[in-house]
Amino acid sequence: MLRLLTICTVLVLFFGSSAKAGDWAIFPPVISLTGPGSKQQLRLCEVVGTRATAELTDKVTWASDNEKIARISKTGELVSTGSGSATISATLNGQRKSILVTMVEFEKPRTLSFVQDVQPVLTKSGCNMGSCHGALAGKGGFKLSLRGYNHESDHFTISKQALARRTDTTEPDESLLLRKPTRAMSHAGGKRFEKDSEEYRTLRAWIAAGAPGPSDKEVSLEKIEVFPNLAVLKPKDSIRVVVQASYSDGRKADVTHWAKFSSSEETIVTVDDQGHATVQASGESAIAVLFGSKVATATITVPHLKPVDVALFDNAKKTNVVDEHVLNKLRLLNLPPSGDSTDAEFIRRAYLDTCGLLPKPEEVKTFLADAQPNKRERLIDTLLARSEFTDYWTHKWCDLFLVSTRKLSQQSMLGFHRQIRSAVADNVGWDQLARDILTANGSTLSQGGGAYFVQRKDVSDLAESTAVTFLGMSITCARCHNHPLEKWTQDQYWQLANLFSRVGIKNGDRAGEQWVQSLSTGDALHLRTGKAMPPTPLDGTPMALDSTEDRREYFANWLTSPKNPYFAKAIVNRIWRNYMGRGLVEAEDDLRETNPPTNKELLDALTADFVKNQFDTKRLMKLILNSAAYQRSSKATPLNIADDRFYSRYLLRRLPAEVLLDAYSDVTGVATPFNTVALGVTGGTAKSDLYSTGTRAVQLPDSLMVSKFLDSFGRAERSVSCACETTTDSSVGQALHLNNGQTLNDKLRDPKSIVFRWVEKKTSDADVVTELFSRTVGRPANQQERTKFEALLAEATKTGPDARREALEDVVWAVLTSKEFLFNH
Amino acid sequence: MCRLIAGLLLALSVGVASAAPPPVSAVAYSTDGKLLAVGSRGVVWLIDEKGELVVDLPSQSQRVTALAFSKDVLAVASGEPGKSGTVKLYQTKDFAKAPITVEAHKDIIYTMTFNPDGSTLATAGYDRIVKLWDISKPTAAARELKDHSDTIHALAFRNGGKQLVSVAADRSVKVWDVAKGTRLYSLGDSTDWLYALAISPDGTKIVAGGVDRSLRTWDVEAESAKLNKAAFAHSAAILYTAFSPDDKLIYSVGEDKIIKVWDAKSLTETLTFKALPASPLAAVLSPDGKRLAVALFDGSVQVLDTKTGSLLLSPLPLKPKPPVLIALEPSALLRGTTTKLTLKGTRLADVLALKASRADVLVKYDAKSAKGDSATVELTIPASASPGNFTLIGTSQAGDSNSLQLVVDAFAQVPEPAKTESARQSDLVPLPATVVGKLDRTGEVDYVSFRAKAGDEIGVQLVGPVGVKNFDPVLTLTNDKGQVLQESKSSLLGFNVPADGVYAIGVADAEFRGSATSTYRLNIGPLPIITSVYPLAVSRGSTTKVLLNGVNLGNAKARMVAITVPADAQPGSKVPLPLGELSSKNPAGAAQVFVSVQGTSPTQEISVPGSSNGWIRKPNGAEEVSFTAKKGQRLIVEVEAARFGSLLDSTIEIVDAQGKVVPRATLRSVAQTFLTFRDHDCITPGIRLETWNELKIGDYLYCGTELMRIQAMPKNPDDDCQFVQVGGKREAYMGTTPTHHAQNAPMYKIEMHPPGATFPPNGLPVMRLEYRNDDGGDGFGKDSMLDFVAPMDGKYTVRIRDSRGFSGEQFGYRLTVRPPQPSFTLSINPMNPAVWKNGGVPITVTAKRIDGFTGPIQVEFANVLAPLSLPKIVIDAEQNTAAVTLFLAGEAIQNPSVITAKATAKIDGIVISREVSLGTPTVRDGGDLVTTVGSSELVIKPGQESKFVVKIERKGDFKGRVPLEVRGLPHGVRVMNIGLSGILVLPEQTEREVVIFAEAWVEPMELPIVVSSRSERRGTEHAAKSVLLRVTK
Repeated sequence: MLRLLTICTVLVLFFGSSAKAGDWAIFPPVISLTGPGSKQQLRLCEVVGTRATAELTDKVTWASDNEKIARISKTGELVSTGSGSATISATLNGQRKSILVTMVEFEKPRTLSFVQDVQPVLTKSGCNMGSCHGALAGKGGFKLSLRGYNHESDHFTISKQALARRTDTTEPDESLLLRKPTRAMSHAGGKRFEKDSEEYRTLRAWIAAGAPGPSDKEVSLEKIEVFPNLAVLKPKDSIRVVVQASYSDGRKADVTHWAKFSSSEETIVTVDDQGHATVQASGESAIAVLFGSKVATATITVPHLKPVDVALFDNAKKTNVVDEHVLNKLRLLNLPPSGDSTDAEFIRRAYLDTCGLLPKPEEVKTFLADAQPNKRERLIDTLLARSEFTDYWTHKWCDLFLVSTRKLSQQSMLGFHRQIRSAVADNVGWDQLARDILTANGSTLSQGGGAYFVQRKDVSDLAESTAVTFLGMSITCARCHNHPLEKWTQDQYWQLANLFSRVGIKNGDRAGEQWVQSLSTGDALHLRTGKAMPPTPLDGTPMALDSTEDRREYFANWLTSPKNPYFAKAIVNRIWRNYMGRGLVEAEDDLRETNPPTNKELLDALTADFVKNQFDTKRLMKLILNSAAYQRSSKATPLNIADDRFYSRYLLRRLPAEVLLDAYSDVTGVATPFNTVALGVTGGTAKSDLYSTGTRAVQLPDSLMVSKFLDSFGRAERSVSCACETTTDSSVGQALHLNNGQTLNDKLRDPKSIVFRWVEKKTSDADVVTELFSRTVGRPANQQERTKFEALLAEATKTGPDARREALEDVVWAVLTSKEFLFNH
Repeated sequence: MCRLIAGLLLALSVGVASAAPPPVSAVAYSTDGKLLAVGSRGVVWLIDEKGELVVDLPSQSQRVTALAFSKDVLAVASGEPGKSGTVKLYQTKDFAKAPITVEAHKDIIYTMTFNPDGSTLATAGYDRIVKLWDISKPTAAARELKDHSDTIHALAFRNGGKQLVSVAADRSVKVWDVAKGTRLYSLGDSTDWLYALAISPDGTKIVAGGVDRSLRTWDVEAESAKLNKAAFAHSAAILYTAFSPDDKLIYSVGEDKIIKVWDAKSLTETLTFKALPASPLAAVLSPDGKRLAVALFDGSVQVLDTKTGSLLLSPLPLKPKPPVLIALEPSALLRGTTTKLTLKGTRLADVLALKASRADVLVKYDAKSAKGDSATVELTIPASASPGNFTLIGTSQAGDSNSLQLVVDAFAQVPEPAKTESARQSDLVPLPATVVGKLDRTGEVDYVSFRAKAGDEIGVQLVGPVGVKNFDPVLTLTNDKGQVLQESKSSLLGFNVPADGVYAIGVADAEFRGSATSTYRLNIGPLPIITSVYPLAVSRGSTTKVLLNGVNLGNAKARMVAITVPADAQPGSKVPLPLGELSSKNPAGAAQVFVSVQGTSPTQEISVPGSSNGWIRKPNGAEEVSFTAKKGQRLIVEVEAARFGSLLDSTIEIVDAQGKVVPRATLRSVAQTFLTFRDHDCITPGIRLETWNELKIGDYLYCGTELMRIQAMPKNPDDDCQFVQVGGKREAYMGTTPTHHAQNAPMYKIEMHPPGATFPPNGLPVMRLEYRNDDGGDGFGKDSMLDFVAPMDGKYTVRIRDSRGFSGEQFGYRLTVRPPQPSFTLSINPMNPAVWKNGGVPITVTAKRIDGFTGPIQVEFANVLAPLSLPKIVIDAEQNTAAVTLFLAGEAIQNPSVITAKATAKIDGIVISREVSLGTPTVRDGGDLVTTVGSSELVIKPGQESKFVVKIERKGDFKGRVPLEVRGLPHGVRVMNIGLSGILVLPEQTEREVVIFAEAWVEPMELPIVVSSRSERRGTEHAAKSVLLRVTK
């Protein structure tokens, strides 16, 4: 009973928005079959708005109004029987839904294509997978390209190689290509399909037709679509999707049978290899569909079941566009938001997230005493204008751009750092910064961005790390073969790489200086074909190979165009993650079709706003910081405790290594010396007097300044373009470092430390506790804490001055290693 | 204290010229050896280890006769013969504290010594009585020891202070019990007065000497002592003697001015010092035994190294010191003002005059104003003075003072604004202003914003501190969008404001360093500044009008100056421009042009040979210069820009009448390899290859956009392949430019074909080169050069642009089109070679080839007289270096004379020769190795191997492994059997077989080759006598 009620609530919640319950939809929405005997599986779903809520395909009665054109089975499988149009209807309990289908070229049997028909069979059957014939060395002398990216070579191998042993065009059924996978002959790979299967029929027909190869006039696959692509379901529900391919000749085909399916969250939704998805638990999951180097996704949302008062959503605080979309999502998932954070929580959080800084006790005091309603907004403005903001974000971007003496001279490293720092200080648009780096010309000292190319002299490295850095995506797989999880092909990879082939680097006038310039000749050659590909941005317009136009400029134009679907999204997601603790897409640099954002509408809206406002990062930060979502309490409610990704509350996160170390320096009053540098290639370390005492960890331009603390707490090495370099995980090493390591203990024992000041000034126990709490966690000690701490100090005082000093060290240590201090909340 | 010294030096400096200094009569070292006390007439000076005077103790009565240190007390004995013997006791912790004065004796005190713990002082002298004083209550002698019958000259404590030993003119050595005050025994071996005495630190030996010139040692026993050794030591009386701290040595100082070192056991001399310049009066050994200080009659003191006898210090007589200028406040002066300043320093009253390093600064200084360590100075800077640093020096009779840095500001001083972080958000400063700031952190850049109106001419000049390392200022000018409009490394900027708005000047170090000393003064305002001149170069023998670009220089007419360069001016030399009326403005910036040979075309069309001047007018823009050529005509197209101070990094290409870049060659790849192991820069000739099976010497390899050529194959799997280098930099061919290469970059061995050639596909790429160049190669720097052969009659256009797309008035160039003048120059290394006795050294001869000359160059050496030999050699066609052995078949060079190398080559039928001096060879001895080769001749056939044996002889204690090297092999001949560490002769071996191989294409020839071995410990090379290599058919 309770369960029913809950479901009702959910439905009410969901239906309450726009559409009314019980609408039907037939998928795919446009059906046109080409050629004799073409088939299409239809699905009938109950829908609310654009989302399917249940699949009814097998429950309804299907009928065709003209069986001479199209026939439909009980299970909704449509078969063409002639050219023309027919209306297909589905009926249940008096409710009826119809769709007009078109059949063309029934009289013209379609020649099977190696690329469009044979390769999908081989891929779906696993013949060309990495553990079988797709292995680098093939299997049993039969070698195919991995997942069928090299049609010419695969066709040759199958139809002609080794005296054409694998296909027999006169006796097709005698072909090894059919006998092996059906186990008519022994096959180490086992049985891959049956003799009466669609797979067998397709391959046989192709062989019988003379095993035609790929041609220049090959029809190309333009896109695939999955239907329904949005669904709201309940646990244990299931739904079957259909996949429709569109080809360059206008043909559409049902490729559900040939597609590969996977779920982004197996604990929420599972999917089998025929696209049959089954809900396991509440949450959201994407079903990724791959076919012929194209990808598509269907999102299945499963609302949480606990009954929730609608008022929790209606009355939730809304400040800006962020909240509109966050609340929509929470409402859809039935996850009520936590309440607002306290002012004390907010100021600490905002300081740390924006500037990597703890607020000073007097700053906290002033803020708490401020009675004006817009005080949070004003605080945000102040923070965004501070020089520590520049420090913190310069550091973030230096992590992103790998600023380090690992591959750069000290001079070039500082030049690169300076360029980024200037950009942050000047709030240069992200598009402009990208352009400045990617089109840098001249000395790496005056055009610091040129160091980007000095670090990445190899075109592959350039193409790949540019994709990660600016597009938040990895294309590395496509260097050698078509990307297995994305739509990028090897050809596209080498087209992109060729955009970076005309960068010349010369030694400059002084030590450590390089000159970067665009050259008018030079090409990156396709790894497989050895040919230069026309330089082309991803899905962009190709440049002529003989054009002397600056290729970097051309790439930068494409990259920073407001129409670029990836560039702005990537940086919006990175900035969002800094403030919200989890990217809308996670990992933050894994933006791909098959890894959809947890709130697509929000990411789209933020991106649109960002682009509209000239890629102004500070403005975006302001928008996020002012949102109610950012300002929510980090405390979970019983209703949203299961959520870790839809922003129903502020997500806890450990302070980044540099921020933590600087906070230790600030609280103890003892700066960290950075006077040793690790020598990149040669190994070993050397003394360095480059950074004067008082230089903060976030101000360090170079990631090779030796610090065991920073290493242990997961600073970025800045050696590969990957968000995975920075970690905020907790480890035993960190615990040991805090317990026995020197960093914190040295600070406490330093004669300049706060402990010695207390001793010197004979500060009372009560004052020590008060100051300690306000300096570290920005709140007064509660009664229990106060009693315990004061008792400890009083006890030690009795023993003597040394014992008191040790006790003071202990209490500071205790607070500085507490979760409350280590975490932003 | 400081005051005291100053006063003393003043007194000295006055007295210095008048009379000879008084003799130095006493010396003593403090117990830690850090201070040397020196006594002279009426004064004691304390001198530190560097010989600097630290303290002086004046007002001693008449002459100072003895000095003694304990840890806490310095005892000074002075007096008047026959009248007094006074002891003053000073505290070593505070010499300024008044001493305790003890009227100790009735006559001169000749000797004083403290017991080891410093509680007792023993004194004695002319009055024959030894007195013992309790330092804690020195009012009266604690004990008197009376037994000597004549003047006591030396005292020494023994046995931890329990015994005292004395020597006297009564020829006796007496040993006393200190506690009882009794004499224990007396030693009477001496035959005349005794002056000198020492006890060995272990207490077992006594040494004494005196007028009988003998040194005697006694072994101390329980109740007495026994004479051990005696030696006639000096030719005059022995004045002083001492034991080394380890008891092993004895030092003696004689009135014969000789100092000797003795073995204490055998009493034999181990070292005799050089004679002293004057008679010694007193001496003392430092507590560590390393130094011996001797006081001399001529008023000097010498501190000698006891190990060598060499003079370490000569602290007396004290030299007068020049004044020291410490600070002048304020140190920055505004031009057009007169300022009274306070000068801080020492000895300012000695300053005769203060002199400024620039003539336009007027200095008024009156030494009378000097009061102690400060004085008053008045400086007047005229309004027309240019801003910048200058120095002030004080002159005195004792010499010039140090120099003091001062600076002239152009405008009123403004401190560094609060916000300087961002080009767009830094604080506004009203102009004109002199902004004073500092880059105190690494990575820091300061921005100073200002508001300007369209048409304003703003001059910026940065004045930085002088002599500060790690600060090499770079100025940038940005607009309100933060875009950089100008960058300058000359500390000067001239800005013609294009539109009303806010602009900012950025100040940074060129390498973004920062420190407490990285201070700057930024003058921003109507300063006259020359930023560039146009044209950069003028033809000699003509008068040219040159335009000065910059700000606040007046209108175009005022900025146009005429210069006449004589016809015999050196091409490439700099000539200053006459500034005319402008000179009164004192503009900053270089006003100079370079001298060029070719005539200058007034238009963009050159009549060959000729030059055209220009500058890059638009960002990413190209300028065009045209010329006409006949089919097959070879021309050199060259740019002179960076070499003339232009900011241009030129790139040129030659286009035909259809606007197409003229094709130069087709490169067909015939083999492929990859770069490996590391990224490679654009200079290093060594590149690591993945495989080289299909490569050989002389092959051309194409990588990225660079065409390079193999000079030498890798010697082993862990060796780089060597590519042709000129002047230490990798050479690129066919107009390509060396660039950086990534690890794993593909590299193609290519065949060169004419433009338009086609080939059946071989799976490797085909590259098409055009007439295009960025950097011209050795000697061109960033300037471009093309060796052009016109494919047909017609008009050709040279497109010139900046390789980075930069532009502006400062991006000027001179472009010349001329026929080639192939030639070469020669250099030799090493100059003035040092050749081994009966051995050889390798000599390297390097030719720099000009305008595409590739032919062989014969090199012969003149003035090589036997037993020297230096055979003639050839620098092969297309090669740049050759090596030969200079061998000395004997021990000495007869009539050393300058050897000259004469190089000749036939170029276009004419013999061209160059002569270069090798300098005069010298002879060297003591090498680690001698190298010999079994035969003097070696025959090899093309395509075959040949072997020879190299023998090495290790000399002296050298036992190490020995790498061999074979140099001067003709192109195409190489050593085959090279291991991981080269050709090695292992430590146990003395010979090694070397196998050489000649490529099949090597032509028959005869050439001397260099076979040498290397001592790795000394880094020296030892060549065998030249071996003649004969390549025969």
